[in-house]
Amino acid sequence: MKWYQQTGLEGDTVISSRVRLARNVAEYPFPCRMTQQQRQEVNEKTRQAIFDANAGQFEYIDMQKLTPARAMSLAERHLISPEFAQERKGRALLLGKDERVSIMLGEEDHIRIQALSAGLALDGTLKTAWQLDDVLDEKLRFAFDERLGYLTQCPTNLGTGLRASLMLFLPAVAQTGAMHNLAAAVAKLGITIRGTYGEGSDAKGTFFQISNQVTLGVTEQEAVKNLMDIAGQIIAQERSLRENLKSRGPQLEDRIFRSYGILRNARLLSADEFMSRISDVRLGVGLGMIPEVQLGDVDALLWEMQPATLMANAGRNLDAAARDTLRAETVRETLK
Amino acid sequence: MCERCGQRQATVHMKESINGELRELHLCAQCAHELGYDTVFGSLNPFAGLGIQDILGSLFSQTAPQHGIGEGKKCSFCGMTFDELARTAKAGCAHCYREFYRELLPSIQRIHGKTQHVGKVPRSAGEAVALRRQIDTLKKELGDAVAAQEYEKAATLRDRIRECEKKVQGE
Repeated sequence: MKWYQQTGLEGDTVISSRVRLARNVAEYPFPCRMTQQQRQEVNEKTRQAIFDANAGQFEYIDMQKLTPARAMSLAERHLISPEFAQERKGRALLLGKDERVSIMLGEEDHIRIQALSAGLALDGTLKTAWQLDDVLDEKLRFAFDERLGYLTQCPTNLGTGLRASLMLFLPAVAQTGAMHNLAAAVAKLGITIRGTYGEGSDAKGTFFQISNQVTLGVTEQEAVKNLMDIAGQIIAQERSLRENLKSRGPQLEDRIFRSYGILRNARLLSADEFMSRISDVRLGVGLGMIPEVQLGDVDALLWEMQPATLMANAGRNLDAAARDTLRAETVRETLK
Repeated sequence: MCERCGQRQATVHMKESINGELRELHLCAQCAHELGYDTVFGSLNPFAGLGIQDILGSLFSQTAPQHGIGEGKKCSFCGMTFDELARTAKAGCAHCYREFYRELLPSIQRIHGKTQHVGKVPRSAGEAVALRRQIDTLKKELGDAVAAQEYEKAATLRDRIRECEKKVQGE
């Protein structure tokens, strides 16, 4: 079972929790000044360390050997960065079997450990990432300075090297146009919030990523707590706005059930239309209007109906029309 | 306001050191371009794909104290010059942070607000660092205990601090 097929804590508003740790091996230059030979050496040392401790739990993927669709699919599911999917030479990925953990090798830092979970679960996610960090720490000597902490290629990651983020589902905040003020307010607290799945368009603009910016002079636990506190306030605001929209008349319910109807019947679904409709349905499920649908099913669709993932799972290249047909088919099957 | 043309908003702020005299400059992008500052600090044209690295780059260039451009101090391990580091906002290796520590510190302070790491320490950094961390935490707790007039707890904490300090000296 993949992590996103489960419904996590606060699932109505929090889709996923993610923790990333940036690490570098002391005796090598950072990726921007590495030779291909050095890249191979660091990749191999890391692979060895992980395989020794977690035999059978990880797959080692030479990024250059992946098809573009499979590489993009990993990025769509937030297992790697989009940049990592595009520039693949000398880069490798250690991917946990259940896709809860991934280790990017040769990205902006030598090693980027990442852990993912459904819903609001940053504490547990940090623990998972730290376990992998400890495994690597046993075998590798990390670049570290007593004053500046873990040394990273970009000075914005110095210190803990931790980026904790939550993917939030905020259709009501987005609809009322409160996001702009919210973003400005949290920026003052060292937190950024930005749209995922592209910004601008209404449909896509209901998913947001909120993450810590400051990594030096703040412990991992403090950073996580700070982020959770702020997320908690945003969640409360979103919920009260939802109730407010619901109480204003049948318009919200009508929109939700129209979208549900389309998803259950359409024969062609573009990625844009799918995102817009599934966002409505997810809101309906969160409000208890569609008890027969589980949030886990909705979220599995959310990840798996992305264009490259659709092709990667189908095992062949599909043009836009074929993708739209397959997407509509799968969605109908899931929501039937 | 731009101090050269007095018409456009100043968006480029920098410090220039001429014969040891530090001078601040506030210019609009166009004047900065006409004066050739954008070639020194990398592209300042907001339409030339201004990304986070560019913004950071100009931040590092601006806050580097009295570091004459072209002076060409190089990292002894990877050969990265400070100018290159400032321009790209990327360090070449771990040693860059030691060798350019003083030059980088103001920018690091501006990014993070702080300059001293707290939090996880790798095994390889040695016991000493972990111990010193622990001492700091214990001292904080000691302060809290004293403030709360929990003197028994404070005494225990003081003993533990002494123990840790002995161990650090022993290393």
